[in-house]
Amino acid sequence: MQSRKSVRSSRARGKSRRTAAAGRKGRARAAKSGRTKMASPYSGKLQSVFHAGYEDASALNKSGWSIAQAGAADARHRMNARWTLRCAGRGQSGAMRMKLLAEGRAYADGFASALDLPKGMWQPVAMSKSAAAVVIAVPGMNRAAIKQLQRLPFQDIIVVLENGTEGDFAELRELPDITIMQTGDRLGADVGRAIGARMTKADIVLFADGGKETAAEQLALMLATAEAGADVVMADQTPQLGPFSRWDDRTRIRAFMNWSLGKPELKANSVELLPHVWSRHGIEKVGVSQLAVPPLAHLTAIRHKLQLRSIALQAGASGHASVELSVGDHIEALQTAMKAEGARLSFSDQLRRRAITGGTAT
Amino acid sequence: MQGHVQQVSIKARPKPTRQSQRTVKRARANRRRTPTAAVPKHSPQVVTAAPTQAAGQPVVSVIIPVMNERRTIAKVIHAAKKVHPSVEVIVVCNGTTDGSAAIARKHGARVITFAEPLGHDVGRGVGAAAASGQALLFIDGDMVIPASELRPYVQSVLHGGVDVALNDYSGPTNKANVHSVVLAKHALNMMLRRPDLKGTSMTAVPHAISSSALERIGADALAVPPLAHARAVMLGLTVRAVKRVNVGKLNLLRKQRERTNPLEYLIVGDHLEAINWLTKQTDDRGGYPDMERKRYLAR
Repeated sequence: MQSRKSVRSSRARGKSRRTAAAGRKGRARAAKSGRTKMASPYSGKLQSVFHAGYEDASALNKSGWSIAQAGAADARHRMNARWTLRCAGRGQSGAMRMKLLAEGRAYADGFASALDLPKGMWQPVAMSKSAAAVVIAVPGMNRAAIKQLQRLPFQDIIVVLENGTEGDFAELRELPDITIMQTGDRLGADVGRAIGARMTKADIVLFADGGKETAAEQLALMLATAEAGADVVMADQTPQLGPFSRWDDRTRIRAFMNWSLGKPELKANSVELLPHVWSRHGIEKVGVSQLAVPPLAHLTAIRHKLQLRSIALQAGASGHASVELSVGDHIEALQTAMKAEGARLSFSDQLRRRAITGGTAT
Repeated sequence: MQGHVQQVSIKARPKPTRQSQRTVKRARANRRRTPTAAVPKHSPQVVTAAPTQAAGQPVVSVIIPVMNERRTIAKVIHAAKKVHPSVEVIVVCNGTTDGSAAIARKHGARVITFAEPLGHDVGRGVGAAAASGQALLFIDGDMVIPASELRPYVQSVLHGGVDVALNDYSGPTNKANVHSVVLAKHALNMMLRRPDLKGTSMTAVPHAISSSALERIGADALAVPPLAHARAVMLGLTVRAVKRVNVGKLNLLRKQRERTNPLEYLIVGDHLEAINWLTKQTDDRGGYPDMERKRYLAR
């Protein structure tokens, strides 16, 4: 990885010495020519990253590639691949992942700048694994939510439009580079997750709520965490919950299930809520069909000792399921665990001489 | 329900300890005065130190499981005796080595003793099986609660049409990290479709139940309080939080004595057992709908 990076960047430098120089003197040149797009809006380390992005895109232009022919999605793909090479070996810790995301934005802006594209278009994530998004769009979807996903390095965005109207479908068709799964009937809650998941073989799958916009910058951290090896990355909604007395019923049941399964550190976080991310390994362990009953998938992930991570999201997480459905799902999950492990799970009775009361209370 | 058990059983006690020997002596003395009734198989020694109502049966039975509570038991019994004019106080001593039983007897309680500890809350079931009141009040031997605070539970059962009168105390919930037991109680109530009960539960004292509720729930279930709670709700009994006593405050003292962690696990396990029972009564989803979820499409 490291060697490929150095080879590639030295070649880029060799081919575009002039462009690189232009990048370094970007500000001065831009001032003279009246063009502002090369001027870095960053300073310090981010400025040099911006220029690196600019250099890489300029080299790409020189190689005969043209955005007019290849399109913006291809540009984003190439940009992310180059950024990934530049990041090789970094991003081990959570703090470093955060830092790399910020640097990535500067890089992407530099890259876009050389292609005459506006800044703020992309949020790169250094990824050697492939990623896809499954968007659950029940009627009432929000196109802005999908547009945020398009800023991220997904090889595919699969929108499961459940029982959508003609208008919903037409609205989706206006968005480029997405796969639309239009189901005529209602699938029932969360079945769309399993159906969407079957449409991709990507290493990392993000499940997103088509009705709620979450900034790409936030989702990027979830992808980076999965890239680093987590099997399940959930939204940590703990900061938004406040005191227990204000929690809603579903939150309490989720927290209770986590506690009962020996995972109190997960608090009330669950794959019941969107967005969240699964690794391919995780999906295979749990089985795609279980994704249709999220608390079951959650249980199975815990029992298979998958690596579960929670990440704070400013936008919070959302769940479509009704309270009734959610409670039933969690009872079903607990019951599934009880069938395998006994009615008390790991919490034994210790000494309790029940027979003394003459009954058989069980 | 059993009748008013004023009998004595001294048979088949292997190797009586010093504690139970004392009980036996008392029991023998007692037998001369009290006619022996039919004895259930597992019946322990029952000693009546002070007859309750001279004629007929008591209206209220107060059940107090006791291990080693010599410091508080006398006060607890005194408060219990004042909850109603017609009251029997049943103290279930198990694994007691500190003389609590003798103190209880001296203060006019019916004492049922077991040489060995029965385990958490089994004493409640034993006491209930021996009780004959129309209302049964459950309190702890280490927690002194004044009679005025206890009466509302008894009154709700006797005159308020309530089958199960709970302590309206849900634990400290004004913080982000609640105790697992508080969490479990809230979760169980919600699964039982009684979110209005919040964190109240038959797990907590004080609470009172009617004798007919006892009959339907079963004395054996009382040994696993969340199970009894789930049964009461699912049987359609009138379960209501009637009065708040902040037992959390009183419990602080206890925490220092007990290592709380094993108890925490025990109680959460009890709640899981109650949930398991719920699924046996209903279905794997506790009777909750799947909302036309087309699972076959996910396969």
